[in-house]
Amino acid sequence: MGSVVAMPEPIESERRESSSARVPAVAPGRAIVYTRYDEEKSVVINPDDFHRLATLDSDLAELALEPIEMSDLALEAHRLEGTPGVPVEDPARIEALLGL
Amino acid sequence: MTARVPGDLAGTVRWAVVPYAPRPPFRIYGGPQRAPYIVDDVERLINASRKGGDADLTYLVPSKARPVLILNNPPRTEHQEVTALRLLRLSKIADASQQERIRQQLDPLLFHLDPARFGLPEENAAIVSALVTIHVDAISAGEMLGSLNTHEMRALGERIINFYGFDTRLLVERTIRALAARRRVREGP
Repeated sequence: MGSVVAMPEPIESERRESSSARVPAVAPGRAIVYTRYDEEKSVVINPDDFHRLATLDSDLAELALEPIEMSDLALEAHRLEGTPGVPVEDPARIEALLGL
Repeated sequence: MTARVPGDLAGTVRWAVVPYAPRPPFRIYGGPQRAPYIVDDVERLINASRKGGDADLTYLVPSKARPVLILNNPPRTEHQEVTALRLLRLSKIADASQQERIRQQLDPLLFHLDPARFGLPEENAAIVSALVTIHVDAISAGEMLGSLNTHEMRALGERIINFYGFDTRLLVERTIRALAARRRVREGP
């Protein structure tokens, strides 16, 4: 299961000049994983792959968030079956009902 | 009672009055002049309902004021019921190693709530298998005690679906097809 990692929604990207860091070029379909003390720190991928994944992420977010609206009929069903009526609290009636 | 504006409850922890699941022996209120009727047999109550024209009885159900994690907003202003999860106080778990498992999110049915982010009297975890329905008027209108972010709500939703065994195969398939269709449109013939 592991911990629940906080993640911005959706992924926010930040543009930087590649001259500001020695970033290698990466071919499509490949990724370079940078580690520090065996922990994954950063991943460099090809821009086409990044845009493909970002688009997929965005599409998935749109498709996954299509809640069913509560219809007037469903609302009526709740009113009919989910609202208590006047309860029977008269001992004689309760005893008759329960056969006591 | 004024209806709450939908949209302010999902993912928040708030105080509420929450009933326990009714179970035998059932205690039935019979007015102020006598002690409650005690009925052990659920079939007797079901038969009485079938014979008695759907009569409502007042069951005396133990309930408790407690913080809960609310999962959704009221769907409409006319329908003010929401679902929520009961919370577990970690101090109730005697075994320190089990407490640590919960903190590390290693038990899928106990969703740890970081005490630094939730103004609860003590450290808690939401019990994924303790789903309850609550009327909005039974929830405190006071300040929320904290909230989950979008990613945490997604992870929690996944655990709830898995625990209750909701079969999402068709939903997943439909989503994959929709994604593929979008991709085809984007990439052209």
